[in-house]
Amino acid sequence: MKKIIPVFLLFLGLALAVNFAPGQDPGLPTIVSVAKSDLRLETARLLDLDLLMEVQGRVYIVAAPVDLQKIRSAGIPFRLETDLFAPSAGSLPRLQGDLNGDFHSYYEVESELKALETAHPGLAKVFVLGDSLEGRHIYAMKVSANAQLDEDEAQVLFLGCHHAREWISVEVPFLFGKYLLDHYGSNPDVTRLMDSSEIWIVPLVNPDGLEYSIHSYRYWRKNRRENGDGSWGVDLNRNYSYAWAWDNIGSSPTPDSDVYRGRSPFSEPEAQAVRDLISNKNFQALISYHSYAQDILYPWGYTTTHSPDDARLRTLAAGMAQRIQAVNGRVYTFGAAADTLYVTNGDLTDWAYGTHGVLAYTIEVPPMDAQNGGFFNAEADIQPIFKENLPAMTYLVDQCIARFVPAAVPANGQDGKPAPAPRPNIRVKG
Amino acid sequence: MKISVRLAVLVGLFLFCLGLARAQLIIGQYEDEAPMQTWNIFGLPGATEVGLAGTQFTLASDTTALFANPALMTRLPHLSATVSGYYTSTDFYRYSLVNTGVISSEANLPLGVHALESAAVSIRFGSWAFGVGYGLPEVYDRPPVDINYITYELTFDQSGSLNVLNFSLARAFGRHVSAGFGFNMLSGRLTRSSFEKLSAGLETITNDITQDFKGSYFNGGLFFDVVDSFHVSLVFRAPYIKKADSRAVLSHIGLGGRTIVIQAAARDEYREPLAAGLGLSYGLQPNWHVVCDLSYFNWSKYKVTSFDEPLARNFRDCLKVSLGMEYFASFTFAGQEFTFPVRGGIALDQQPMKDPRSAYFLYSLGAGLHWKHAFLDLGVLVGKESGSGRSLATKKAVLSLGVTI
Repeated sequence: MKKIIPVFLLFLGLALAVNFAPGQDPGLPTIVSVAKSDLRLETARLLDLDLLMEVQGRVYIVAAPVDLQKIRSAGIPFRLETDLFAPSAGSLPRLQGDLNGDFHSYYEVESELKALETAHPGLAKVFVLGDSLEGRHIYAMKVSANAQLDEDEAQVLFLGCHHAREWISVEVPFLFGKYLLDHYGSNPDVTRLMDSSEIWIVPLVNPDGLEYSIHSYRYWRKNRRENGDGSWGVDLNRNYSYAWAWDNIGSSPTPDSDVYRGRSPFSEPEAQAVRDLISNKNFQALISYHSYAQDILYPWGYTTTHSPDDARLRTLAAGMAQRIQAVNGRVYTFGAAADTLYVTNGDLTDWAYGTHGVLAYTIEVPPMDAQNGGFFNAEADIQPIFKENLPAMTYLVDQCIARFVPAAVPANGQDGKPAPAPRPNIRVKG
Repeated sequence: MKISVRLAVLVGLFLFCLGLARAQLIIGQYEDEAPMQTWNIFGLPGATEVGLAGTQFTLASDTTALFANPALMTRLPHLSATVSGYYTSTDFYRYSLVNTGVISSEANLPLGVHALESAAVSIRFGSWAFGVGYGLPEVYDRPPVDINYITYELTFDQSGSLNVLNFSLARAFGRHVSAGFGFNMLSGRLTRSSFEKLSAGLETITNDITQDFKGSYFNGGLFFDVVDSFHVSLVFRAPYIKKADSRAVLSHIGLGGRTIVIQAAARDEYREPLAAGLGLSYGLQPNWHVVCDLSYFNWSKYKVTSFDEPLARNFRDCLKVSLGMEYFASFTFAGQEFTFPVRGGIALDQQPMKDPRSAYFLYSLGAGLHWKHAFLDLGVLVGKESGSGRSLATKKAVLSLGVTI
């Protein structure tokens, strides 16, 4: 028995000391850099260091306090670099936050749209347009005085996130809806817009892609269709039926291409959801938000030939660009999509304009180039980008209201009951 | 007749299309938090149990028993200690960035891991027994990815493990019944990192995610010595919450331009479900016996959050059935008496994904050498998965060394 107790205690002590090391220090990570010549990859692996990146001969490391101790013990000279990241990261260090920071995820879009509907009864109504491939809802929020009624008013649609990695494109239309609801009754311009129009917000067309972009691969663009050949995804903004597969430059028949157009027009439920909304409403104009490039684009995308409404489309685009520039001096180039950026076929704006006569725009928000973020925007960019786009959005709604012609008052039917109102078929005239 | 043929073709086509539509939704077995080999981890089978295809609920062969059924400690010698190490090789096909749209591989990707799996000691005082053990029940490693072209680079790495420290207490009630309970403390870590250089080096994207795990749970078991040759056990592992301190740093570095960093921190939860089991063992002859385990895992209750958001895990409850047979031969060498056990077994291990439905079919072999107060056992388990269409293979070899007094 005398032997048993020491053996047991020794075993217990060993187990506690060696094998049950507590979880790593949950303290905030520090970012340090070391000269690449001082840190061989093998050493980093041995020390179990969390390498962030390598720039200009220095290796950047996300280091918890325990990692700093390891680097010190190994005698590797290092430099504190946390401040280097601070200006773009906003308020470092953050103690809480989602993987995508202040950008909205699917769950946040879902809960915040519902919260806005609850907080603004009569002004906001949330609809489910359909479900994505993985079963997530595609939401629309109608913002208008008497939102529960279908009134004979100008209708304008704002959409975001056809492309998963363009996180900022969720924010601009979402924040526009929120702005309108928060300012109805207190801001006369907003009140007038909401009294005279029906504004529809679809902030997240591609929820599956967005979630994959957040949780797995930041630069994911397409939806989450498994194409059956080992590749995944259809580019939703090449899946609309107008001029679908016009050529193989503006879209691709190859499934692993980033601009794969799908097996057939509207093969994807996400594009079908948008199609059904537009087909069942009478939108005068729409803006589909994307990033990046700082462009305002309008049909056609599939050809460099100008559309019949080119002058009107151009005038409105110029008006929007002017208003954006007036906010902070940022210049958005504008023009027909095929002339200004590159040819696309099967995109939303060509379909909405070509099939339904909707004055349809793609706005590519900042940054201008890859060096300044590409498809990345800092969290601190969200409000400035929304605010610079706000006057462009209200301008477009205003223009639609100004040119909107209400449907004729229905005559009584022969049976004495009011005849059903004819479906308005009114377009903004150029 | 023509109508029936057409109908059959249409129904077949519909089912085929339905199959295609369903197959696209699920990543498969290897969600990020999935342990290597199987989701169904209950206890920590040592070499003896592995040689018997994982049967462990009624076997008082060594102290690894306390992880699955602490009641068995009352059947062990006064002092018993066991250390087990393993090597495993497991096939992966679809996980994280691999075969989900970013990187494709035509072949399954094997990954080999070796580690100290468990160390445990138990002491018996009369009808009471106490045990303590350390184990490594879950490993989250994945085959790394390293792509390096002039204009494009991508590396991906995931690793991690979960450790458990078990304290168990058991008591024998008379000669035929024993009961035992264990308290298990968990700790561990999972790290996932990717590095991508694109646009011919103009852009660099890094993504680092770390989760530090903590948690605890109770397990317990009853052992019934129905007759000398027939034993029954009932075991459970209570549902528990594995808490995770999650942190992430996502960065974009534009060459000569701007650096953007998004940092995140959250307290996440993995709501692990109840597991329960029934074990039977029957002695055919004094040196022959058969053992059988049936385990149930309540995976339909599994819930997980990632950075405060629920992740979709469309899981079903599932079963694992193991059947093993052991034969003891004795021989004398250099005046010393040795025992030479030989083991074999088969098991069916359902995985919890609803779609595609998947299960491993496993078979095992084992042998050992027991001499007075020491023993050495080796168990090998080999299996193949069916259901995913990838025939994922898994192999595990466990070596256990023990002493008894």
